[in-house]
Amino acid sequence: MPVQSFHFPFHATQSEQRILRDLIAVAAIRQKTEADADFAAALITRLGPVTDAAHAIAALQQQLFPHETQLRQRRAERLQPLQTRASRTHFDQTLETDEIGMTVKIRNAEDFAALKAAIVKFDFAAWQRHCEGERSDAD
Amino acid sequence: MRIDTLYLEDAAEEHAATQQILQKLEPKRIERVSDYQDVFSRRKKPYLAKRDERNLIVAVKRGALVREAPPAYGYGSSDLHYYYIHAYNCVYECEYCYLQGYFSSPDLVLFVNHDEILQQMQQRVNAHAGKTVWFHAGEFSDSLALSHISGELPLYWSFFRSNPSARLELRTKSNNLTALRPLAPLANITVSFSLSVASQANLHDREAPSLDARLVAMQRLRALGYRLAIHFDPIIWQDNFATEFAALSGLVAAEIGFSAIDYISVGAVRFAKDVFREAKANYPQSEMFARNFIQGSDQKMRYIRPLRLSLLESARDILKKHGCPEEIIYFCME
Repeated sequence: MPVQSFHFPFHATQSEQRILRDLIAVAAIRQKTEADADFAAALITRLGPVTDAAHAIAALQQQLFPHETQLRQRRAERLQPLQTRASRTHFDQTLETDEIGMTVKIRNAEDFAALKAAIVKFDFAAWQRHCEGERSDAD
Repeated sequence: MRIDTLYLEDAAEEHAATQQILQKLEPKRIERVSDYQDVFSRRKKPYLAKRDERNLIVAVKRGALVREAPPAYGYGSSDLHYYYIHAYNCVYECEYCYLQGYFSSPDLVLFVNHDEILQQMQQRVNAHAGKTVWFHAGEFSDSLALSHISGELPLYWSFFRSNPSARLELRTKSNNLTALRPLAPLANITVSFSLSVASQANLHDREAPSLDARLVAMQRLRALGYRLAIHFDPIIWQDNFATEFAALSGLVAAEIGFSAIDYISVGAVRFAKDVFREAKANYPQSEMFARNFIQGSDQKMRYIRPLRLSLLESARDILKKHGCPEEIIYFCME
């Protein structure tokens, strides 16, 4: 049966299903086999107790692209100082740029002070150097 | 060359190039059409239909015949880069080819109004006096594969002889040198070959001449006095890429020599979004798709930047180790 007829054992949006099928296809190519429904079922089963599509995607990405996952983890660690009580900070998940995104909600003077201190302390040049120097030997 | 149906556009009939083409081919059928777009664009034909049926359209190209090349397309960042359109589609079937999904049909098209293409090229040269203006052939087709049939190269030779500040690049994977042999090499004309490591050429460059055949063609052209260039593009990740690329660089150094090479581009595999979808549908088991591709802000699908740079820098370092001057290497579309 084609992979399109495989029903994921958790809720997945159309977009999540597409991402999952792409990942299943990658896994099948690497194992030199066909990405059919049986292959998909076995692959998802091997992930263990996955309860939602986001976790399944993350687990498959981790499994298929460990170097890439590690690069993202390192970026997340470097951005940790900018995660404050007032801010949620994120980076370009494609790793294409060194852009930093920030969602800020300042509710009081303490929030503002915490954010200000974090920004003042953050070494942006070091962040840029880190992103510029990222290399991967592929997964 | 086998042609099933040759579609002849009415407006093309009077052109000298058309008569040359007709003399060189024996198609099973000839059909006349008033507008080639009726055959080529107005109905969708699967890309892989080219395996079963080879049709050729002889037509007049309207609209823009010369277009500005995208940034980081050619060598020499201060130079101006254009490509001219004399043909659509290709006799080869490379799995990564951007022609799949680009046009509605895989049928070959040869445009015969070279006089108008050359007029537009002359306008570009005149508008940029004192600057080096490059014209690239082979953007939508292989520039040499059918050149013995299309027969246009002598006209372009005359143009570049009269315009020494202009440069021509003939991009190819072909070892068909029939049209080049009778022409005298010119200093401002470079024949550039796309090369891949041997295992990838075997795997992905379907119907195209082997790596060895391309290297032999390069040797022959060098012996005739032609200037050469190489596009190591696309580079596709594989486990032993560095080892295979070192072997290929060694072959180029030994059999061609870097002194005969004007420039070398190195580019990582990439796709327009539509082409990516089409290529995956056409070649679902291709090992090209065993890595992760991300969609960039330009909508193109590429490896992640850390992987692209790792591959390109590794290729550059290997080339340098084999004696290639660094200044002739550039990263394409990066």
